[in-house]
Amino acid sequence: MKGIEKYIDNPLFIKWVYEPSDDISEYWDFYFGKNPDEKIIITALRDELRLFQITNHKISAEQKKLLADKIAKRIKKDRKKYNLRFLGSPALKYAAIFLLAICISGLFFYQKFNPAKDLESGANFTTAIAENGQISKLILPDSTVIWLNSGTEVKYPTDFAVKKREIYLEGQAFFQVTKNKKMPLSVFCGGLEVKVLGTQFDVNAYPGQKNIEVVLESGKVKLLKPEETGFDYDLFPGQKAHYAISSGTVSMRQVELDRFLKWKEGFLIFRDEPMLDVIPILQRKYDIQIEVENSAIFNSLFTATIKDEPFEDILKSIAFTCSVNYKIIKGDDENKTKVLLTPK
Amino acid sequence: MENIKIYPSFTTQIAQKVDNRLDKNIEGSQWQEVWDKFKKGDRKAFDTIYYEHVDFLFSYGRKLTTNSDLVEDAIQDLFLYILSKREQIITPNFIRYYLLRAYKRILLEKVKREKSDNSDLESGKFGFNFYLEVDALHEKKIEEKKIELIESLINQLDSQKKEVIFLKFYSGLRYAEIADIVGIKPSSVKKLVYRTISSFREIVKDKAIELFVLFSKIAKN
Repeated sequence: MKGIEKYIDNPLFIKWVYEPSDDISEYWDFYFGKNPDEKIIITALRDELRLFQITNHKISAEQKKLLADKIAKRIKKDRKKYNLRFLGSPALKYAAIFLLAICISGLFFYQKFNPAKDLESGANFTTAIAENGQISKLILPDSTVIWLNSGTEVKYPTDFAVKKREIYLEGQAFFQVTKNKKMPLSVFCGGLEVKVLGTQFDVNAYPGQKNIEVVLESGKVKLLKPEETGFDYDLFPGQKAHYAISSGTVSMRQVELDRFLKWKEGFLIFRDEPMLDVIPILQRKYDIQIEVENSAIFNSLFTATIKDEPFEDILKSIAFTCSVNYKIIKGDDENKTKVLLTPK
Repeated sequence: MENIKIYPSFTTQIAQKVDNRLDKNIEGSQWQEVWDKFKKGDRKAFDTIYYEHVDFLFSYGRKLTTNSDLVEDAIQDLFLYILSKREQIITPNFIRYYLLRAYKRILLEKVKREKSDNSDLESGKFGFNFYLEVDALHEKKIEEKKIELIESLINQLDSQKKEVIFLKFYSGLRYAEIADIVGIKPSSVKKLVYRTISSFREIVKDKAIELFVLFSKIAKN
């Protein structure tokens, strides 16, 4: 038993042995990345323990569904009986828009208006792009304001707000939506529809990401899937919805808003974030390329609040907290500036 | 550039938590919202919690009684009971543990009531039996002789000890929580789990066939 107690004591290990799931397997891959020398003993122990199986009586899928419906029906009946009034939270009732006096220093504007014909629908679209290294602000015909983070593209029909309000997003943007009860606004990204009346919220949907994140500052938004009628989630102020694209699942939790919304003012806020997530953000913000020599660096955690700091200062701070060395290879007209991170 | 793998932030979250302290709650913090909505009567939130735990609750229930109807009734009563306590708006920090505590009590009451109706049912030391069997499907991967040894390892455990082993392997509960559910000391839970696992490993590794002596010791303690 010597040496294996810490695995036996860990509920996540036992869960991996007897009830493996994608999430758990991913956790252990992550763990092995950090502790490569433990991989052999842990996987051997897992395979050994898997031989020790206990009969688990299973409830059939139909029976499970029947029972769920029966319970839900009883719950409804009980609620009526006790005359419970179920009201939404008071926060829902206001969808007020307050204009933020935002001071954006060092903000670059870049808007490309190219009313190009959309091949599929024949509709005319306007495209706005914030290139890497830029944050752009865009005001739509209905006075809705959009902040585009670096490397983001939004597209909307030229007849926007005439009959409907639809926006297509690739990247990250903060929306301050003008209230219009008769005409909800929808943001489409990666198969997901974020539907709103009037509100302020952030959508993070860069291409290549496994997840889409929506953070709501005030008002009310709905997450929908155009092709899936049962998919319908309400988001409340202060919450972040995390949509996993591959599994199609949504999880929500309360978050510290500043962390997700301050980018509009040029801030980058990292709280114990793995370098894996930090690197793409820095690449977009500074329009550079970052390469790592050893993938273990991806697992190092980085905490910082950054605003307008020269890039080299941030590298110094990364070098210190993640114990790595860095080397800058200056770019030219054709190549981006490149940074190489190597373990100390 | 190396191929970047994006970990879901939830996984990263638990990875950080668990690395600091291994013996930690395995449920993520995103369950709090679901629980609050469920308490307010949201059907989707109910479904989410129900489908997350129903397999475990059913399997655990079937080890206390072979009567599936009774088990399903207890699952229904469990959810109605939780909602009836609507003044308690505090979100339990470990939902499965919270559910299991109430569920065991509800189910045992039903089992007792049923027993007084059918007195021919055998009763265990604590008013109930915890049935644990080695999964027959797995016999093919491992020799017959070893299966017999594992079966006798299990069979020599009393009802409480079987329950401990089941909860350790299939509930995600920690030692202190298992101890609370079963009604014994956390240190005894830990000891029992270690002993059972090392005995099992000895069997699998062909180290000693005469382990019966050891099993008897476990059973006595």
